[in-house]
Amino acid sequence: MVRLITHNILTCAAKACVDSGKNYPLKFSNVQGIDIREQEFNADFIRNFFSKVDYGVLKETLLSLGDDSLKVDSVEDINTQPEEFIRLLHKVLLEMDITQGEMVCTNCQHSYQINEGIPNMLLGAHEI
Amino acid sequence: MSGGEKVSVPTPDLSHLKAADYARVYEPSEDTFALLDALEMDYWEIRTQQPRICYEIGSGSGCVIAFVASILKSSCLYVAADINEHASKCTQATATRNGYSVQAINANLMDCLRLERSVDLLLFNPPYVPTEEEEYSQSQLTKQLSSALSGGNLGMELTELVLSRLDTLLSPNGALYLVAIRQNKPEEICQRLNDTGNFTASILLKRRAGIELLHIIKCSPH
Repeated sequence: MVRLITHNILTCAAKACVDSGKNYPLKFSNVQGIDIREQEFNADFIRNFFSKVDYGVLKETLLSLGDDSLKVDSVEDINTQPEEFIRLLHKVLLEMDITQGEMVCTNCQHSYQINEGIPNMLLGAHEI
Repeated sequence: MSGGEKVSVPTPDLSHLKAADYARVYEPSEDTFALLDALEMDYWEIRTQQPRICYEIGSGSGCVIAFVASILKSSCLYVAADINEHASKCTQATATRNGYSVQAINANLMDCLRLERSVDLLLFNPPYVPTEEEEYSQSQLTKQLSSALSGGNLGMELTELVLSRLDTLLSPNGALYLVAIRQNKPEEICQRLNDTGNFTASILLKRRAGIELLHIIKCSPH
């Protein structure tokens, strides 16, 4: 399961991409399976975790998967957001599960394969 | 329940893993259980810290991260890396079996994560057995079971890498739980970390298991 919360923190590991700061975000490609898996709703977790989320990347990634449910452009203070929005974040961050596809680095074009929900983030010695 | 009360956390259910899995993935042993016991000793402290990101390097069977997930449940994001593909599968299966969401990733150390000073709970049971350099390099290349054992010079090759990047990984309230054996010179590891002035490190648990003298080191930013 690659959930969007994980995608939001994954980067390309190639040294040239890291050094140039172009190692993030990875772009989904050839997505062949998205499962919706219900997770226990924990509003505190979403609010606590939100400072680690790159919201712009989340919104764009979601759009690239054909989902425009995030309408807000930016979130100033997560603690003033209504529960409805927290529930929406919960759904897109934790319940959408990309089971088959690729994540591509837009800098070096390396394609990280997702197989049975497990992303292969390893690079060959010549790619590091 | 009041803080400080001793809590017994059950070992995760691993009955789905078979001999064929353990031919390819490290089977939980005394070192694994020592780490679980150390985490259990810190049960209340871990709960109180409210970790948001728990990251395990070399998750193997998934026993350790599933154990932590049983403590923190839905209040934390669990990411478990292993270079061994089959280990990642076992980790995922163990999490599912025990009812937790853990993201297994097939990855080296912490190379592919945007986790600058964000890891609240870092777990590392490294390949700590001192081996010849060549054996170590080879095991890391093949990414099979031997990579869970062979630790190179003093058994410290990978541990050194993780320790050298610890200040960019751990969050201000974060903690590393690290397994080491006597040959890794655990007292020296702690001393070195303390000498940086950035960390507080100590030996949380010491236990003899056969020929090994196991240590669980705990290290937090100052």
